[in-house]
Amino acid sequence: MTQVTFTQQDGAQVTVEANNGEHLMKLALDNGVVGITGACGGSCMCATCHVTIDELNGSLAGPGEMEAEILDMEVDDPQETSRLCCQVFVSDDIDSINVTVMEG
Amino acid sequence: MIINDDSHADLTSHDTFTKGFPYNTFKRLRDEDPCAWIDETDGGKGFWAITRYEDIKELNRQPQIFSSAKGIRLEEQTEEEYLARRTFQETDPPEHTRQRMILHRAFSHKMIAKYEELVRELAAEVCDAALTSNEVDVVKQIARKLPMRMLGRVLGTPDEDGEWLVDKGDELIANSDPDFTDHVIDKVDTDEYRFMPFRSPAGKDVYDYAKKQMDLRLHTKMHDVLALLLEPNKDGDTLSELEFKNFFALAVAAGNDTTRYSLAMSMFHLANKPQVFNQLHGKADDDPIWDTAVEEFIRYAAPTLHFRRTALEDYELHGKQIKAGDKVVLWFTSGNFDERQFDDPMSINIERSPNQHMAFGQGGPHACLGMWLARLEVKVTLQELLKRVTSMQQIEKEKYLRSNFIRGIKSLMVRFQR
Repeated sequence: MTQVTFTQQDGAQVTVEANNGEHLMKLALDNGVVGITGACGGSCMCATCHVTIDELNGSLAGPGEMEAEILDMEVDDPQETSRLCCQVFVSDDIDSINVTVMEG
Repeated sequence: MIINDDSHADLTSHDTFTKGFPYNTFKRLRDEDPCAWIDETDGGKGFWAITRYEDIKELNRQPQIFSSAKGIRLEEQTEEEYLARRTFQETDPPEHTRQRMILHRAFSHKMIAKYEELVRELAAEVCDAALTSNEVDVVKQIARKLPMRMLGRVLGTPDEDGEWLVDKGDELIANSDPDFTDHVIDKVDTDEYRFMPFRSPAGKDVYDYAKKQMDLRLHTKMHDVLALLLEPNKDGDTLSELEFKNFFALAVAAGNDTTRYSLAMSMFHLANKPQVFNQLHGKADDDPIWDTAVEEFIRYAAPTLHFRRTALEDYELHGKQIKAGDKVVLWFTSGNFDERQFDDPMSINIERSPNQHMAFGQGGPHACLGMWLARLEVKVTLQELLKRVTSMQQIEKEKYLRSNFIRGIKSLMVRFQR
């Protein structure tokens, strides 16, 4: 199990325990995280699941080529830690991860 | 409201859908046989009908097993026809990703958001013109008018060509409805057009038009979307002439009808459910209820009934053995009415949230390129319409498109009070 914490734009936090293979967008939607809409359903084609990764205990591969390109096209000022959370999957390599919900 | 209560409707027949969407047939399939083998009555080799939300989503996200590169409608195509007519919809990653990312530059959320004022201006114009009468066919006078004019503005084609392009778009995508084409695909011999988009003579007209637009931009510096699409991307990659022409034909066909039928379904609910009308009437343009309302209207409208895939390897689903080469049809509209995913799916709940519907094919690589434009057009058009009226009521039975591919109300008479 991996602990995932979402910090919303209003400062409220939602923490969930997640199973391997789940992506963070689905976790956010299932747990009512405000600000994640996932308008493309996790196709990596919009930025309505944009987050920044604040803290990571474990390891996670960086964004793929398409994700980087979409971040570049859809987000005004992408951060180095910006991710589309439909592309961030929970795995054994991650003990816990904290993300902030960004405008997308 | 017509309810098509036939629970054993023939899904391969275009005529089935002139009675409305066969909700009960799809409910029966979802409940009893979610991976059903359907024999085709028109000479096709038959297909698997996938009707549950979760299954559609699961198959849709696996293009390496369920390919779009052998056709995306029920129609059987020869390799030669396929190669001549294919758009990027009919490709798989990585080829698909390449074209998609070239096109995405023009259709991103950020880019489309800039068009809000333009859409509002056009929507106001269209609503004012329609409301010179109190009894209006809102599909013909509003829903049909706006999307192609808007797409013309986005692409950069002249306004005066809009009407011609709408007609051509109808001939293409509504190639099974005699109201829209003289070359009804299952009634007349369309063999000579087999290399043209939608096997339609209108395909040639649209190809010729696209070529002219392409040449114009290759010889004159222009600053519109078509020009942008012809510019090399950061890797120096461009669309070929055939890719450009097929994209243009797709934009004319798909940019035209799906938004129209989403708007038509939205107005159908507003004209039949006063509580929905009252919930939205008088709401400010930036009220968040508009966003959830538009998602819910589009969930219900789900104009693209299905896309077909072809299995590249054997696959087991619900105990059925899908064989490599079989046609597998993802009925997205059925997914949007799956009780396993949506509470009370037959009801309109304009505050439904989350609303992870699949009207745009979300979750797979082929999620609709134009989804942001469609959402914006539906929202702004409904806003402008509701600002101008105090009530709306359906006064004649609606008419449905003759098509097993696109679902839509093609005629909807409404009486307005102003």
